[in-house]
Amino acid sequence: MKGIIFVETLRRSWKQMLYWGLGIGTLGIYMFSALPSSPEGYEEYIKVIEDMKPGALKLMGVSDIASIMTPEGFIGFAFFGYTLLILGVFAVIAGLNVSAVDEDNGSMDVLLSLPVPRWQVIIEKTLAYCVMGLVILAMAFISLVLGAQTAPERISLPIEKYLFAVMGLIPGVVLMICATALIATIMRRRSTAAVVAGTFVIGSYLLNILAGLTNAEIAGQLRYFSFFSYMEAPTILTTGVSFVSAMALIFISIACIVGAIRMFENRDIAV
Amino acid sequence: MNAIIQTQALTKTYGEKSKKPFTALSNLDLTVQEGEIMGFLGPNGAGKTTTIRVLLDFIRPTSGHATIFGKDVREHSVEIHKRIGYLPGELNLWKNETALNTIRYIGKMRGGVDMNYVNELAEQLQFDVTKRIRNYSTGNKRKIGIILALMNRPDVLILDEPTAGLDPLMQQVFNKLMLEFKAEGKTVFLSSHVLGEVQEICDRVAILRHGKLETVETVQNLTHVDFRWITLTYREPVRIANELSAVKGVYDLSVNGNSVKFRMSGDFQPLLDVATRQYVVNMNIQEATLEEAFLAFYGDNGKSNGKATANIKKTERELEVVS
Repeated sequence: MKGIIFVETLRRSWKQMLYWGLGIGTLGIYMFSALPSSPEGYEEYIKVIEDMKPGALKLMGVSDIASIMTPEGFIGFAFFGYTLLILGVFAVIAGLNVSAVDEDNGSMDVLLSLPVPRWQVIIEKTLAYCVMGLVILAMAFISLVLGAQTAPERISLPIEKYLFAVMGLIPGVVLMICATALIATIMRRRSTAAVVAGTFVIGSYLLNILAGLTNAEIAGQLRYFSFFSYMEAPTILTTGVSFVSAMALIFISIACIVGAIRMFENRDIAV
Repeated sequence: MNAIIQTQALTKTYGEKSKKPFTALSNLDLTVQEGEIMGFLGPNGAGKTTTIRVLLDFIRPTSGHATIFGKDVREHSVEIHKRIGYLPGELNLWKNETALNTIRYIGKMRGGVDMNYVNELAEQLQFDVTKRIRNYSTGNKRKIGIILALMNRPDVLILDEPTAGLDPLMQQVFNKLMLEFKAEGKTVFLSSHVLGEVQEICDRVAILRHGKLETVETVQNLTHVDFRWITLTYREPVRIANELSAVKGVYDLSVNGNSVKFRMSGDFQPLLDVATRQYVVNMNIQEATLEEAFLAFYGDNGKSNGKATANIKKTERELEVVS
């Protein structure tokens, strides 16, 4: 019976989805309220940024100081930069729920004793968690639009800019869910999979930042092994996300899920 | 009769590439016929659950193969699972869900469920479906497992230690359900480590030890393996120990003050005739564990001598009356 696991997963997780969405939405609205409200306030903000050492800014994920000196840059840096990291936590939890949680607590036995192939369990659950990620991002988008309404004198961007910027986060979230799902099917145990997937997300984030700290060519190239590098948070509201990078991440996500299905199909279910 | 479940040289070794591989199942040849209740007995770690997990395609055999309805359990797992009801040894469901939601979900996965039948089962088992899974006791979790296994009226039931945690009254209800299921011409394959439990409902019993099939017997052939531990407490010191030890079916008798303890197999009447020659204060009857029955039947090396009484006779020769 197709679609039942998908619907059931969404039904069971709607509260978590709501909480994540509200959390990120609140962060979005808060960021608009934190925008300097007067020209004097803005000058003060620029002065603080200029006084900061470039190394410190790079540690915070800012490679170009000028990019965060505009309201768009500020929202991009303060909201999108951290939202992807926060969504990384969501994605790891979601990815573990694809197989590892059920396998770890024994309910996978009940599921697989039903007339359902293993690949269907992986596909339907992954899709359900990706849909959850989309709903959370939709709530983030709504919060940005609402936030912008509260500060029209400070920032005025067309709604599409917010929409494209939020859409730019989708491939990263999907990749983190799929990569965690793959790790979980390889590792079997939830705790081990959580550690490895967490290391992957945090490592990827740190790699992007640390590679930006040096001018060495090799470091610059290493940065591209981090999926965070495809998105420049401070400029995301103005320039959006590269279509090619987004497609590359989606392609890697599909490869991860194919790998997860293969692993799950061909191994014993843990007791 | 058709063979419903069949295994041929089924072997499962864990950690094949490690230094210490462990063979949980070794060359198992087993056939379960249509319309029978087959008990799958063995001490803990004998390989019962491993066999069941291979049959359900949760784990893959190292060698050999298994079929259900004549179809390979791996290649046709989805098709086979449509016609199977399964109860795991340790039933773990989604703790935050109610039993009713779980029943509906699993029912949908099986293509729909007859809620009247579910209610009927719940009533027979005295089970309240409205609570969250995490709030159920072990016995109640077993009951929901039985409902989930039976609710779609499958052709075959595969049950791993189904009565573990059920009280004696519910065990009787379970036995009744199984006999009704069998009366419809359906097949049950259930594992247990309690001999007395399977004797009540099974037609045949397969005994497994250390991953190897020791024997497949009809229940009638197995009754002489069965024995109980009996403790009689008298008002005064035991004077009739010799008479008691001479009763047919009494072995391993020992006396301790006013009490006498022995193994007993066969009919009770000859024992009662002798035992009541002194005033009996209390009589305690305890089922032998499978391990005890198994040792009496096969001895320590696990090899059957073909005569169930051989070891018992040996014990009889060694009988020592301690007074």
